Amino acid sequence: MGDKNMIKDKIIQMDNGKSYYILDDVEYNGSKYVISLECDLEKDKVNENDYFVMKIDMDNNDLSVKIIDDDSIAKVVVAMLLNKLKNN
Amino acid sequence: MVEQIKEKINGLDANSFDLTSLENSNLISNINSLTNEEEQKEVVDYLIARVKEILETLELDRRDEIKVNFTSFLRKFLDEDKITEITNELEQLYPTNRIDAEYEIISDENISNSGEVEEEIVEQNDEINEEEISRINDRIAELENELVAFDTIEKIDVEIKKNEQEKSDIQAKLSTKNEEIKEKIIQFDGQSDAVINKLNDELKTLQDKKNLIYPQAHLFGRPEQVHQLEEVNSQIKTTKAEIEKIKMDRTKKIELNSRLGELKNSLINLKEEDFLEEAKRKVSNMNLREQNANFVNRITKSLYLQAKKNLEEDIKNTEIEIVKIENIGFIKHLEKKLSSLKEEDFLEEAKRQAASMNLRGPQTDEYIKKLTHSLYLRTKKSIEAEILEYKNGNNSVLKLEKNEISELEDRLSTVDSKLNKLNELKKLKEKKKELETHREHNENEITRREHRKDLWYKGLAATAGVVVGLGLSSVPGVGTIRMVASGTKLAISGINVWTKKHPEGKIAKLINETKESIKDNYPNIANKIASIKNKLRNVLSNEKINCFVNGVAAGYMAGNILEMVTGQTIGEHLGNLFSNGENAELATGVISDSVTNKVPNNTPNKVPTNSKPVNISDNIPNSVPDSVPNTIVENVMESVSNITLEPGNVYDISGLTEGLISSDSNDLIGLITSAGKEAVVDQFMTLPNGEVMVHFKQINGAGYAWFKESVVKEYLAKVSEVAVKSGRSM
Repeated sequence: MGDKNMIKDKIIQMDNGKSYYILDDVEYNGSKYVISLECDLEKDKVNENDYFVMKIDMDNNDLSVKIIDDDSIAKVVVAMLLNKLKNN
Repeated sequence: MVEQIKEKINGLDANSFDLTSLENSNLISNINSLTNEEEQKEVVDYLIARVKEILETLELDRRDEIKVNFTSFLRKFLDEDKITEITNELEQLYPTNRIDAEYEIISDENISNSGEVEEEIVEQNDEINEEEISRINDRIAELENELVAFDTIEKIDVEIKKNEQEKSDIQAKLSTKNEEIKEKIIQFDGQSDAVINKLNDELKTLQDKKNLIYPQAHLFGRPEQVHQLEEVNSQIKTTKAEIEKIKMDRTKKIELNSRLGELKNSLINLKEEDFLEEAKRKVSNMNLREQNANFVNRITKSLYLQAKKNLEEDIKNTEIEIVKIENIGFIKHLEKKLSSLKEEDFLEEAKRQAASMNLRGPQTDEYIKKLTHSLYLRTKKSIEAEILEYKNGNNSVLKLEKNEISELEDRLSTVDSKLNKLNELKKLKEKKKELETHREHNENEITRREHRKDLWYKGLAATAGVVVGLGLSSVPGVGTIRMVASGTKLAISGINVWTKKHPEGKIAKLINETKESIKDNYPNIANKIASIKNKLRNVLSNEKINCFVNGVAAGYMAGNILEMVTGQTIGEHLGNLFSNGENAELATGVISDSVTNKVPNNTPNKVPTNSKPVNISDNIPNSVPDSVPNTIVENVMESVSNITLEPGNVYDISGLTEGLISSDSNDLIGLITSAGKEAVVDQFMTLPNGEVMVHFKQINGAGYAWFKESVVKEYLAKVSEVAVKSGRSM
């Protein structure tokens, strides 16, 4: 799967078929968090109304998407991600 | 201390009453440093008295501004109940100007939506006017296209006057013509009472004559009288018949006119569908194999057209019949003229024509005689032909007048329609002017509201940042947050950020990890993303939006900065901000779980072992520091090396607007810089690359941010004053 750290500006396709465009990512507490938009690859469309902030985990060399369990972390990473989007 | 603070309060005036000045004055920390409740109350009362003095001298708008600033300022050291009490008192003394009142309502409802609501109010007004103005403009263009373009309403007035004059001229002519026609009708009306009366008179004369002749003829049998009697009898008979005929014509004319009216009405009301049934019957009688609807339609149309033609014919014939009767009087006039026509009437004319031909000699008289006869015959024939025309109804005695009248009526209708258009145009132009004035007023109002809104935001400077910060804080709970930009014309008003709405699972594929590039394979997505990023940058760069990371810099309890800024716990603060509906649940439920009860257990770096447990009251300086900057640096570069950052020392690093949230992170975050005014050096960390990172705490012991040591030193060297405010060790 190539360099898993380089995830920004890529589209991830999940097992369940859903796809997300990764707008940006940050590292926090040794984990990677991304802000993304859902897209429909078949229709070449992107849903621009909802931003999804997700945790990206690496388990046994596989990348997987997780929900951020800790709300205090969630709010920090959301702020960090928006900060990055603002400055990039 | 109390006296010192009072002195500072005395120094306040309307101009220094903005948050920045207030923060710069250290008044907040001074008041916060008072531990004695009595003293604090004394100072606060003193402050309120001073504020009242200031408000007393100000105009309404400025008062509102100061009130807002003051309320925000109070939030820094008073609880909400006390603030409400004070603001209520001030509100009673100095009621908020109308616009502000509207603002307060909006902000109470939902602070983060205030910009949007305001936008709607203003834009609705705007839209209504714009729509109407545009409609008016279209109609004006249409009218001016038909008439002529007018640049001023005065010019329309001139044109209206001109047309009104023309209208009244036409009306005068019409009235004259109508009079003429009436006279002519009277003059040539063959069925008028006058005619009948005249005939009756004649009849009476004849009867008298008969009575006179009768005895002579019968008693004496004089042949002359007998003959006269026969003649009179015949005249009486004719006259009687004539009277009878006139009476009949009169009745006939009435009937014909009534019939004409009916026919004209029938023509107006004639409809194609009236013949549908008949057409169907006809088609059905034809015993066709297939009844074609189209065929029925054609028959219907044909029947309708035929009926219409018949009616038109009837109308024409009826009109001719009426004209014939109308003409009778005139025909009589012509017949009279004909019967009185004599050859000698043309002798003078014949002579004149002969003279003009310079005729001489014996043939001249002969020529004149022949010419006289010829002129007589020509006139006679012409009158006879004319009589025939009138008798046939091809000509009408009133034709000329009727034509003139119809022409005048056409002209009147044209002028009338023009006048209507001119009047409409005038009204529209007046309305347009009014709307434009209104729009201008509206725009001024928008500017004013914008100004008020700015003040409002400014007034909430600290809280405004908090609003967005809190908004973000609540992301995990409800899932959606609207961050509303305040600019009236900003295209984007909301960003929904979700943290728990996506599925969990393995990532099967990183799409442009392979050879396909997103741009080639998903051009729409690529384009859309580019525009979304721009859009986001614009929204997020709006000065009203700040994405604060609330005091989590070194992994301390999230929300510390909030507490520092507002003097409230997160829960209380949320309770105040989201005081209704689901937001309230959000505030009490989610955040209290996530923030109040949880301290992140995985801090990026350990708090140095030599640092004491955080105790806010221990860390608040008891007094304004006596020490002023130790050194005034003249040569920045030289002085960088001279600066040493000592743990426990307090520095003003509020000029550093971005910091790092952990020593090994490269992601800069925006900071609530006011919290960096009194930042305390906490710990150092040397990275594998040799770079030294320094962590600062806030004065109250909460975490602030990580910086590269070199960056801090450079900054401190650059600022004109290096303020080492306290030597106290933490």
